[in-house]
Amino acid sequence: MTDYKGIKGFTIPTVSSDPSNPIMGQIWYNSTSGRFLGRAEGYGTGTWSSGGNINTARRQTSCAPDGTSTAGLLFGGAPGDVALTESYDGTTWTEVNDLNQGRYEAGGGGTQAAALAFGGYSSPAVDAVTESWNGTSWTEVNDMNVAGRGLGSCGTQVAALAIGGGRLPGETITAAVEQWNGTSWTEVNDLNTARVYLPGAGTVTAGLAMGGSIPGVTGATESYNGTSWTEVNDMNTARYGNTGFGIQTDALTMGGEEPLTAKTESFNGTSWTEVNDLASARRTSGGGGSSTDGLIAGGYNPPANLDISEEWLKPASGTVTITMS
Amino acid sequence: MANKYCTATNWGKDFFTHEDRRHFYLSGHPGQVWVVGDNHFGDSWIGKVSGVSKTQAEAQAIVDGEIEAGQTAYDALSAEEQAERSRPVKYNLP
Repeated sequence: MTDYKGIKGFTIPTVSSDPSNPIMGQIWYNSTSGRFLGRAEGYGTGTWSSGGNINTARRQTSCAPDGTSTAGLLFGGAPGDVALTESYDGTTWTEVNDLNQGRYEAGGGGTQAAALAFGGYSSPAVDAVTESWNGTSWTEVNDMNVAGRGLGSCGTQVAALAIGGGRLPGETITAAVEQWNGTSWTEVNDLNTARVYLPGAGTVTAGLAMGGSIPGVTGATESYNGTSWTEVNDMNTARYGNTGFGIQTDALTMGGEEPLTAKTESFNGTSWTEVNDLASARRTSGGGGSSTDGLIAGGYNPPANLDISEEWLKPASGTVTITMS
Repeated sequence: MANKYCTATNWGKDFFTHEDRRHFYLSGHPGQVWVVGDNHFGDSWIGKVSGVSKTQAEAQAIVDGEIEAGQTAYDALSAEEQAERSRPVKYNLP
């Protein structure tokens, strides 16, 4: 029988600790862990691992969309009009200063250090209140023109979009879009398809709207160029209450219903591809990040409001260390 | 590939890792039920998380019980509250 030495001309080295920078294709036996290891081409897609549990389980929550798996900010949620804000360092969620106005289904923009919260539902009515986060506390700024909940959202603390949602009067499912310039909200061109409970991604000049309820689930995806929305290819799995993040040409969406799903899809600017699922199906979670490094936290998997989070990591091509035994 | 079933409490960070997810199928369900790919990596993970092994029928019964409790709770909600969420639906574990 041909053995490794017969094929490669040398034996597999035995080491007590893994090499710090193995070359592509290198394999070794780690005598400490008792495992054969090697460096191989990347798997082409990312995976979800478990992150730290949030302190307060919640659904219909929001997240700073431009965070990372080591710098997340989660705010608001249900049940009740949650004002709690939690900050994530890659290991632990820490409670920080609350929103001034508790709410759920709010839109979000920005990062852990500079975020924006807008709209949502604050009993007994939909909300137009906007708050700005400076890394320490929330400050109320100018309201949206029309109160709305279940909004899609994207952008930064000073340049954000509020996309669709259930707006006044009567929480009507709308195609309306508002743009935040750091000071005030301005109505801009509508989506082609009115919808609610959708995530957004990208920026105010390169945005993306992904799925939602029209009512009834849709996989419709629309791309925004700073002026108008254009329909592009649908997601493979229509859904609402999904989470999403990334940029217009490299985005992810995950979770949602109906039915409740753990499916994750990747958008390359043209079409959607299914990638590795979440471990736990959920809807109305908060999420932020990029196609290579992101985070989802909280949400709802009936009958439980969730305190669990998952971290998305897509390694750069060709840098995966694999365990073979 | 067949799956194994267990219950285990998700403690958070590193309960399952990216490497785990590359090595075996894993999905979490109501009642802290986990469906685990049947290979030696999956077996090692069940040990790591102190999983309590279940048969598929036992695991399904736990999930069904949780969903039935959720359905009961949903049915007790007001129409307004019900409009904000969907009624839990039973499904079969993989």
